[in-house]
Amino acid sequence: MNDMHRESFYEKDIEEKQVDRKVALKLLKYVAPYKFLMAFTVFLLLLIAGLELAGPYLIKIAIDEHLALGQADGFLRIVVIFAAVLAGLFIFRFFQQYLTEYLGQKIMYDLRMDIFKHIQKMEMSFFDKNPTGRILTRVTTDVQALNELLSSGIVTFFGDIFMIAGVAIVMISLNLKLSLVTFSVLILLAAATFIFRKKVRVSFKIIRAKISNMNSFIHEAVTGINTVKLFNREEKNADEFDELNRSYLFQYLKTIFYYSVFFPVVGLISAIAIALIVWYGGGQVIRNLLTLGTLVAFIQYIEKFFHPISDLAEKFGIIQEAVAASERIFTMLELEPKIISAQNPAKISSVRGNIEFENVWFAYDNNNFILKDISFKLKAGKSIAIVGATGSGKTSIINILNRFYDIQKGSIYLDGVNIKKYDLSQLRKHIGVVMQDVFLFSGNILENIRLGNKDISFDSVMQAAKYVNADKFIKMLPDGYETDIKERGQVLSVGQRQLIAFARALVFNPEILLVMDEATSSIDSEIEALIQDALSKIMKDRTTIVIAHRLSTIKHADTIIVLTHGRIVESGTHKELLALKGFYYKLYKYQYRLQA
Amino acid sequence: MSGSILFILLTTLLALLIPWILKTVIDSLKDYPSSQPMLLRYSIFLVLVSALEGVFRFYMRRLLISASRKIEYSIRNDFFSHLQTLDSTFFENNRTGSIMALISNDLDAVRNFLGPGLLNLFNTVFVFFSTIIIMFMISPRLTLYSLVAIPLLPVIVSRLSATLHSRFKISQEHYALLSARTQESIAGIKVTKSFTQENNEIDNFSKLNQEYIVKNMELAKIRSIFWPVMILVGGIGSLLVLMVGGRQVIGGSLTLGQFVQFSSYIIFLTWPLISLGWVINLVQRGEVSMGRLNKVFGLTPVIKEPASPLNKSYLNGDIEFKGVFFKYPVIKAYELYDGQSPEDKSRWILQNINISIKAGMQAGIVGFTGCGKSTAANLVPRLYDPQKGLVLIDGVDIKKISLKVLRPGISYTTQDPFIFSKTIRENILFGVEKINQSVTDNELIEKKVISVSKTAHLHEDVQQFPQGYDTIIGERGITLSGGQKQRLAIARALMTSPNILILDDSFSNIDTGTEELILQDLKKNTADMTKIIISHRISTIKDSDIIIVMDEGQITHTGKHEELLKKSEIYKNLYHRQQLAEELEEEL
Repeated sequence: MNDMHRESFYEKDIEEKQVDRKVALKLLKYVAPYKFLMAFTVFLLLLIAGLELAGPYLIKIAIDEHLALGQADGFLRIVVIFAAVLAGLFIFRFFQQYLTEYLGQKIMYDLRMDIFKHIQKMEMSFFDKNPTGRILTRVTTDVQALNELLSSGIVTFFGDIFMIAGVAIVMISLNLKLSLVTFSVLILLAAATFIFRKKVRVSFKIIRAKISNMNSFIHEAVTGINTVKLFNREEKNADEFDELNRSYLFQYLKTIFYYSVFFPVVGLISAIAIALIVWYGGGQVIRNLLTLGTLVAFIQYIEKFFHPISDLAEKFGIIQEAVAASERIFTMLELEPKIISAQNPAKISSVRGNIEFENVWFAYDNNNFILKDISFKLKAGKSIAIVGATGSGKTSIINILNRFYDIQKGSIYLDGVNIKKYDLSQLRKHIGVVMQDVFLFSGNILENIRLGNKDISFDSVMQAAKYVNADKFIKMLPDGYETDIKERGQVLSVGQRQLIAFARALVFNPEILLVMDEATSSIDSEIEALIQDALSKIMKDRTTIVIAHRLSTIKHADTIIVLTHGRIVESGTHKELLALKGFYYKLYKYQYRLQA
Repeated sequence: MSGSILFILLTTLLALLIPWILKTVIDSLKDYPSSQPMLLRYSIFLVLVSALEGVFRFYMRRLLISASRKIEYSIRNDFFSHLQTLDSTFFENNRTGSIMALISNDLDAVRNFLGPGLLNLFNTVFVFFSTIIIMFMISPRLTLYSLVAIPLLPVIVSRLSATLHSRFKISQEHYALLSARTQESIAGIKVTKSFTQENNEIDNFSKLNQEYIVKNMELAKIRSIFWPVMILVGGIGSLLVLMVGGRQVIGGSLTLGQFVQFSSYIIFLTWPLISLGWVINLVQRGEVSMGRLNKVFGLTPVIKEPASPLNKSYLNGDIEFKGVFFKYPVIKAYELYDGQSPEDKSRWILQNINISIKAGMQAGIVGFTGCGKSTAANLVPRLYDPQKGLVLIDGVDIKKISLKVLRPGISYTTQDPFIFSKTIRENILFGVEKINQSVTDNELIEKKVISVSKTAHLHEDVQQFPQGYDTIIGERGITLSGGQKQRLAIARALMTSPNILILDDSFSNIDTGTEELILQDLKKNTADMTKIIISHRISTIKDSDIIIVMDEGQITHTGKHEELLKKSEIYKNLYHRQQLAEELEEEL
């Protein structure tokens, strides 16, 4: 395996500097809109903590004032209060729990939306660099990792802290000396926690990266499943996956050891505290310096004191994992999209469709120029055909006109204004693209044509489909426009997909149309005739750049550009090029020869 | 597993010992004049017991939690391996994102059930029953009082968990939907961007996301009531103990120490109840998810290793189709899968196909898009099986040949070759079974990589990359042009030295000049290979030993180039129209 490769496809799992605090602040920003709700749930927690503390205190009163003295009067009152406390706890706990879940769901909703929106904003090269599985992990699995932190973590964290503080206060008010004896063991606890934190700190970031890498691998294996089968790769793939899966397991096993040590240690420390109280407090009881009730209450409070502490320790893993996940989410959210709208975009009220390329140089990576010094003009409503061998840079012309990628040198103008000065979505709204490999979404044909945009009526979809000759075959499908197309779209042939793409382009009615006409270049059939007809219809009176192999399309274009190795070698009208007696002349000669 | 149960038992027993020590201390403080040294002894004893408990607790945790992680690991491995055995039909009918949700989200739920879930379940049961036994030993009457509310438990638990189950199911299913939608949105980003449908995408996603919250909040209602209810049930017990026990202490029939001890045990009883609520939560979610995983585990591939494969270790290369009818099978998505195929209204993609290709021949298949050329090719390596008719290799039904013989014997380059995010070398070596570590073997392999790349006319291109064969190809093979991808796919196919080579439209993005060179080299270097070349470009196949013309799922004519020019109208038309385009291409 190549190291470079690992870096690009697999995420680095090297521990970077801890930036927990920053992440916590960013997460808090997501909590901010719900601060009142948050405050209310915290208030409920305070009530719960208070009521929880009332329990042992009531028992203390019962012992000291009634049981130890054999005093039955007023005992019933204590029982009633105890019952009221239980009822209160029940109600408050329900609301606290429900509101907390609500809070968590809301925050996760916001996060998911933000990531999804951000992804929609990123430029194409981002998608070239990041495997789909990785991006998917951010929206789904990584947000899910925050679930527990958000739905119970934050709130129980506060709850536990209140509890610890409350118990401490009650203990101090009951007996300062005993409290100090109890708190003395906290030094031990601090030391244990310090060591523990240091040991488990490293693992979680690595664990999150491993999850993401597994997801990328599965994603590729699923999308490329037929290739896997054809090349008998199943076993080897399973081995590779096993390697990823195993390294993920080992990371977890590492943390399990420390967790398994830490919990018993907390338990032991709590036992030491109780032992100290028994020894010291018991001595005080013997000397009548302390009531028995206080001692019993103290022992119970120590349990209440240590319970939230071990609870916090239990949550520590969840918190660490959530922090690691959110760090990765925020890292993605902080990537600035490189191709964005101009600050004060030029207004587009009506696009006429004049296009000009001026000395355009373009490379996908910085050195390897695909387009070299391209200049041409295209008047509104006219069409240009670009002719050239594969790899000559034809596709790139389309990719840069709607700013999927930005050019390195030169300028592209639309109606005399540099395209970088427009609002990005306004620009793209006016440029329709018919792509070579037609991507189909799961869903029916109707939704695939209008891309799930409910503003476009069924009627206009049908009209567009009729116009591009797609209506006929669609109606012949089992459920017509409602026919389900699966992700891989086996239902439709390549030609039919092409017609769907035309309908798609037409229904959005752009002023400028970019057509990739390569995939079907050599198909000749009934559907081919339909495609040709559709193409000439939608090109009519529309500024069109068409990447074509068909002679008929080429000939009908107002201007023809011949591209080789990223340079324009010939351009002009049909007549001009003929007069040139160059490439186009030869082309025409063949056509003539056939007719003769 | 049994080891960890033992540790749970030991941990629980020691944990129960602690309140007993405390009881002794308190009773001795109240009733006898205790001495400081005695208190010290108790204290030390307390710490020792707790330390021992800690040791057991350590092993208990480590064993169970590690076990759950290990089980998760093996389920994940098994699931992945199982996935790879499933038919192409499965992948055709299930969305990628939804499959991925199973292996991440659902598996997590199963692991949480197996680890913390089981740990706490055992723990809970032990603590619960041993506490009750001890309480009985102190005061049977008081114990009964404290258990008054317990019979409510099964009623509450069974009702709540049924609801919990169904709501978890809804939630997990929606998560899979969310995942599938997101995956497609990422995969189709180019369409979204070029039609500026970002906002619309966001709106649609927002709706799904919103629905997910609503479904989760339905779930939250049940989850939120569970915990307080469990605590309440425990609380009622302690209330009764306070009331009745208190009166007994006042009446003198119970010692104060016993009362204190009893209240401690009540707390011991409350925690298992709370944890039971939590465990039921985990169990239900784990059960739902395991059910979802099992739906996929339960699917058996139709196309699999024959029960008793023929004793045949290589393919000679005779291929025959006998009356083959085929259409793409439709199945329900895994969530709804019930073993029955939904009503299939579609037409046959292949109708009564009869072909015979002799070993070592080159066969060409031409026809318009959608005529069934590629579908026919899919049947040879058994990506799909025909519904009617037979596909034979060397005169034997391919269903009787081991897949481990059949597929390695065939190299099939699909129309849109899938190139993996690996280096060029790794992609070429994709189908090579074993790569031996010895140096001489490595040299041999390297030589072969270069020789197949030369045949595919990829070598020249690779040499221009700074990193040569170590150049990494992005997820979508973005650094390669369409033509380079196709040539890489051809090299990959040749690398396995197949007996049968199927090239499906593998030259569509390669210019005719290069195509000609590749075809010539193929003929030279792979003379004894049976070749099926599918194309809609006549030039690609015109030199074939046999040419099959297909239209609308049927074979219209077969023969050689010259014959077909006379016999087949379709063939003649295709040929004349394409001649021009190709000559033009050459000029450019």
